[in-house]
Amino acid sequence: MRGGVTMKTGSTLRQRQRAKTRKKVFLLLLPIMLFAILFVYYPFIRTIVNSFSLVNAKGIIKGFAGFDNYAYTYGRKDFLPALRHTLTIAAINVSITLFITISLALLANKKRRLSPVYETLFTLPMSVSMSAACMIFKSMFSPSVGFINYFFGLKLGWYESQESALAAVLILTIWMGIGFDFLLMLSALRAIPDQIIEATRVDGISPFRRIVKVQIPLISPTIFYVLCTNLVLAMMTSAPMIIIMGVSSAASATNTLMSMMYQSGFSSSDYGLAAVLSISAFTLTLGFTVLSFVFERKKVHYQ
Amino acid sequence: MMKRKTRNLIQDSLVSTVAIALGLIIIFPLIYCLCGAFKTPHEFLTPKLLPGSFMNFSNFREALEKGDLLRYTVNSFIIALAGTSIRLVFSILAAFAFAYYDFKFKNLCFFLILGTMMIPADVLLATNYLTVSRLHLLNSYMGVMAISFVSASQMFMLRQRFKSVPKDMREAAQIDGYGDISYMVNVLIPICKPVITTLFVHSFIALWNAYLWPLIITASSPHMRTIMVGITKLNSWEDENYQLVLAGVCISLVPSLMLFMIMRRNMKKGGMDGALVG
Amino acid sequence: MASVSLKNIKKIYPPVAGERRKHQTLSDEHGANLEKTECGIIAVQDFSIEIHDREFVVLVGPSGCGKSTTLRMIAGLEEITEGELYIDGKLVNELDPKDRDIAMVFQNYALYPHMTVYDNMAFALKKRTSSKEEIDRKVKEAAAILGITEYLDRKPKSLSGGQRQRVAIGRAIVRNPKCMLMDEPLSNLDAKLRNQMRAELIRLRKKIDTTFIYVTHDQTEAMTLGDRIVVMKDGFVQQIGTPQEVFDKPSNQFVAGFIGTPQMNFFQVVLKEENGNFHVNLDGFRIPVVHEDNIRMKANGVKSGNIILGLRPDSLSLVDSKDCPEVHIGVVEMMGTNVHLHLEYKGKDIILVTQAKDENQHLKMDYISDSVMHFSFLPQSMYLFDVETGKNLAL
Repeated sequence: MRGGVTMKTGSTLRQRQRAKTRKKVFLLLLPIMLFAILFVYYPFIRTIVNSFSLVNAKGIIKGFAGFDNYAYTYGRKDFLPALRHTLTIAAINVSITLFITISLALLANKKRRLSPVYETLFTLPMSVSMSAACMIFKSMFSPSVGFINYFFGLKLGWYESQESALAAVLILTIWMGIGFDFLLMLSALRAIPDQIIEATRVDGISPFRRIVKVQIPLISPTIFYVLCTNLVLAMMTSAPMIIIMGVSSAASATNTLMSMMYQSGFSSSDYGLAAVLSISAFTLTLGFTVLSFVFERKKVHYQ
Repeated sequence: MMKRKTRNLIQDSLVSTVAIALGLIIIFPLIYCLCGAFKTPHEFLTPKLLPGSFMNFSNFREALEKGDLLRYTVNSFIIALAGTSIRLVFSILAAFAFAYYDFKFKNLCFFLILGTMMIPADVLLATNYLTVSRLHLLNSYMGVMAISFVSASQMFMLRQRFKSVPKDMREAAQIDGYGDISYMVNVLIPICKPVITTLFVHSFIALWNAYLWPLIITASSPHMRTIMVGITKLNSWEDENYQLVLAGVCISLVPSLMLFMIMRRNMKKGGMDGALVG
Repeated sequence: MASVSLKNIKKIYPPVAGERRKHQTLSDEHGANLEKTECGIIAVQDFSIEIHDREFVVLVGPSGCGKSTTLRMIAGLEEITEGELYIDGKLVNELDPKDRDIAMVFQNYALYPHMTVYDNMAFALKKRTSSKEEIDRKVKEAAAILGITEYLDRKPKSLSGGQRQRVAIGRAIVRNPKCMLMDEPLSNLDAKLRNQMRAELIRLRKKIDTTFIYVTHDQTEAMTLGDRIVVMKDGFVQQIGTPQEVFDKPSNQFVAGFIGTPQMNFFQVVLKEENGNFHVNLDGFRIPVVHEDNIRMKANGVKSGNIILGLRPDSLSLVDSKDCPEVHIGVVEMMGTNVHLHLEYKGKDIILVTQAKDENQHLKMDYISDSVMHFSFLPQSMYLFDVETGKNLAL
């Protein structure tokens, strides 16, 4: 009975079904892939290409530039400072944020009657948008009517000196990051099996040693994850400063890579420079982005 | 036993008090914002914290009318709602394809989408701006929403969730005569409602809070601005205008805070299981 | 209500390099004996059967034998690699499940958790009938047959296992399908419920007038429910017949051992021929082969040599005579009416089933462990199987 008829219906049926599947899958994936290519991969490749080309003010490529753009960018007087600022801001931001959030998480770890209250208070900054936060802090830091000056009895023009401007920005960005990072740290701490903590109690280990030798090492994957993501975010900081200080003060010494990029891309239409800066920032942060994925998977170590 | 209990109680009370104090310090900027929104311009000059009365809505009125915040709020709402919905639909369709079908290049496509998570949006700012302007989408809702239609993390989470739905549910629906889309609408999405709701809330807040991209796209059309851009423009004329600004900020924070509360409640159930008490 | 006909149905899973597929792991765990060719793993081999209208056919066999795969091919959930499938005379190989007019009850019920029982049952009808009254009538009818009318407003999670199962069946019958497919519907229930539901199914069958194809690994279900049963192993059909046929005349050793509880005992014996008649030599004891079997074996060209002897537990009797093979009494299972005696014969475990009480209602014996007894049986209860192929020599 294995005639030609049987074989034919068998294979064309499969082919037909496979074609049907292919069409369905194509339609299902089309929207997301289309926009992914259009707004992520195309611009990415284009930016790389731009960094190696001569681009005019309208964004059209006029010729091949080899590494000239890079040489120009890295040779600029304001490049190295910008890089330095980027790294400094990132380092300070991340270390302070980690310290604060871990401390708060350790404080809030135990579930008490009033836990809902202070847990909410600690995570609340998470829901505040960046521009809202900037405007609040801008008014708080205002030399004339700002609360900060009043409260601390200072007469600082916060935006006038470089260090204080830097400090203002740091306070702002750290504040914005506390909410979410606290949440992550707390979940990680609470995910440590109770028995391990109980074992330390039985062994008579002091709270300080317990924190340093047991709890923190056990949540180290989460700590590294927060470290990496915050580093990436901090190195990409530019917009808050733009809002607070206005693009014209980009000449000030709190310039970072990204604010340079923004300025060259949108104010001076120097697309080649903007592209180089984008790519440089990207490579700088790529390693940390990849690392953060690795750490995200292992939220907590167990034995 | 008694001694230990009271000792714990005292310890807890102390720690709670310290924690709440720290918490208040942390949310001080928000308290400041709220207070400032109700102050008269005169009151603002005096560096007292509390306003004269909490009934002074003149700042809010002025922000909404003169500062055009009402229009901006509407803009933000449309963009957040439409953008989130479209983003969710794209993610659901893609997640469905990956969860239920096997096909050539499946892994390639998957990692292509996942790869978008590696590239920070700021890097792509300039080129995307040019693309959008060439598509004549500047100063439009679509222009603002377009770059946020792809969410690899959403798609990833949805795919996980879809895969955990037993396969025979789809087969039963197939036998009952339901094709892919009607299965998604009638069975799959209702079953996965919790996850989808959470993702919707996250997305909405993200789109509502967006600043940089909407700023660039609506630069030459003030009436299309979103609220987050709008509040930064409130004090562009005078420095002593902060009470207006803070009123605008308060308005902009309303949806975020509401959704924050919803998220907290959801987190108690799923997600951070038992991580948070309240 | 339709006939279903399978002609040389075959299912081959093509070999997949690299990608891990579910049926690949399936073959590793269970069907390690499935035939592998260059085309792939053959899950179902050359399956042909004519199922009559309103017949209840059971596919039974151990895990990995291909019974579920066959059912899914009939449903349209798996592609048919080779062969033809006819439902109600129509060739349906290429039709989608929804166009085959079949209904299926899944092993895990697959009820839609977010819908009420009513909606679950109405769901399939919505695509076929538009009138709300008609849908309502059909759902209520089906609910009445299954006795689930009072649950119509509840959601699956508030129902017990047995109730959910009835809803799953209700969802299937509400469409009045040409053929009902059931994939191990009772395997998720506890033992007591399973017995109950089995009886329910038999009763239900009288009320629902359609063709049933039922898959199970439990031979008791197969024997009690089926008009005909199909015994499968490693993708091959071993035997098709009524329960009684399959029990009395198993076509090979596998079927003989699979059907019937407790399992048939097997012995390695020698078949000898003397004066044109066969007899069996069981370790020195000589048992003549029955006349009809003799004739058939001669017709089959059977030669003397080593063979396998099968004896059902209830065809053995315990005797006290030295002219019979010797056994040690091992474990004694008092089953109430019957006693299952585990006997040790030459290092092997054999089972003997006998009644606990004799004609006078006295408990027959005190079975003492390790004591030596003898067993005997009648020649007509012998089953003889070929050592290599396992075929029943007397069929």
